[in-house]
Amino acid sequence: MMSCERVEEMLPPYVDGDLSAEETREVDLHLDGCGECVATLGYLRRADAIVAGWPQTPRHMQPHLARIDEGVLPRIRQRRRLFPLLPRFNRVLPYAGLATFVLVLGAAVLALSMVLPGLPLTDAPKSAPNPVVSRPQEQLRPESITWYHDGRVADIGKGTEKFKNIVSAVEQLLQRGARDPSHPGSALSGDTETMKRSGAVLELIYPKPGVKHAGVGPHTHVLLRFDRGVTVLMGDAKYTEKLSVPNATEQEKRLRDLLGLPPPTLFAYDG
Amino acid sequence: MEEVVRMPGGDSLIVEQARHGDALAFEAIYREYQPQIAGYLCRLVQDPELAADLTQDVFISAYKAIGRTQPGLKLRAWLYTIATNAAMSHHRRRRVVQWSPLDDRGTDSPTEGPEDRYAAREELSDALHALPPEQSACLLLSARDGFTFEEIGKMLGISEAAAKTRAYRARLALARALRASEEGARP
Ligand SMILES: [Zn+2]
Repeated sequence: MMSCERVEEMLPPYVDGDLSAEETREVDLHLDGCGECVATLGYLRRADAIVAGWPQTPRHMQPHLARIDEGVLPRIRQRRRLFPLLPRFNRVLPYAGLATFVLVLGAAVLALSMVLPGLPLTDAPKSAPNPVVSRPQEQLRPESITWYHDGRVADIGKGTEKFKNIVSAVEQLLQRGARDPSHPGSALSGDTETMKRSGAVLELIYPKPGVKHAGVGPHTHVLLRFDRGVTVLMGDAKYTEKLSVPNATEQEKRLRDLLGLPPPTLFAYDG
Repeated sequence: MEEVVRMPGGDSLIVEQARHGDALAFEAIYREYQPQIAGYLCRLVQDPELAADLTQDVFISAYKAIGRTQPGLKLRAWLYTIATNAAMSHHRRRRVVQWSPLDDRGTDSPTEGPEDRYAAREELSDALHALPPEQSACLLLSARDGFTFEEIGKMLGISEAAAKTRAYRARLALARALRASEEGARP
């Protein structure tokens, strides 16, 4: 008789009628004598039914659909107005014109991005080269900074003064840090989602492992949690380490100012 | 599974027009496919705001790229491929770090009530989100969005058999999650 584990794996194709006659017989035989696997089969059928019953668009997605229109439609319409000849040109010369078409399209994108500086045309996610990486002599800059506070999420706009100021304050803060010996590094799979939802957390993500301080790192992610002081975690996919930073630093005060976060009230800064 | 393409005369004409740069044709495509692509992404990333951002990226990328596609483009599969890549690349970029929990202070108890933005979730959506995205994508594309495993294999650059196996694993994981939630809830 096959093991329950093996039978469980065969249940989805069993339900779909995708097993051979021989395999089907074996599963049937096992199910005759195993209540556990019969129960699993019942849950599988119900889970399948739940998934099949999901609406095409989840209900909580509906309120966000209009915002997508606002992002997409103006870009389609603006390009139509600015470059009315482009489609026809491409239609006349479908093959010979392809290279030119791509060039013209590139110029169009460039022109558009100059005409509409507030509406940067985003590229496919994988194609955007990071200009920071190509200048290795410079200090690696984060590709994003996200501020989680009281259940709200805000991306700090890249290229803004605030972004630069936060980066410099964080870097100075990290330089004062020391590896926390009570947290020697771990590969735990815990999650900061709850932390982000309820507390005050700043997350910096770097395009490649580049953050290294006090023997910690290099890592791609730096996470600062503010409560009565500041706690710094640095990590990547395999490893998370904690950096302890002495309280009452100028950098922490500067960061709190930049983020509009009041100083902690319950404990004295120099506590 | 419902057939979603309802544009008059099927999609081929409108796709050809869009391929040749007709912005009005692309707008019709956008209107037709936006809700399902947004819904697919919402289930994959489990965050409607992020899904909205990714959906914008998908259609803007598609608009820029459609002129470079071959005649006879399978539009719907193509859009879902772009959407899947966008979600995976986001997943790689943002979710690689599973931070270890801070053990020093108990202010972040996970037993706190769910946030408003996560309210009204569909049953099993948490279990779906807990899966590796390659598995949840295969499950959604087959069970929810009606693609064959041959199509899914082509979309994800894997074999038909691999796509099937991923969907099977995902279904079994959801069945186990359903069981755990019901048996856990039992007094
Ligand atoms: Zn069994």
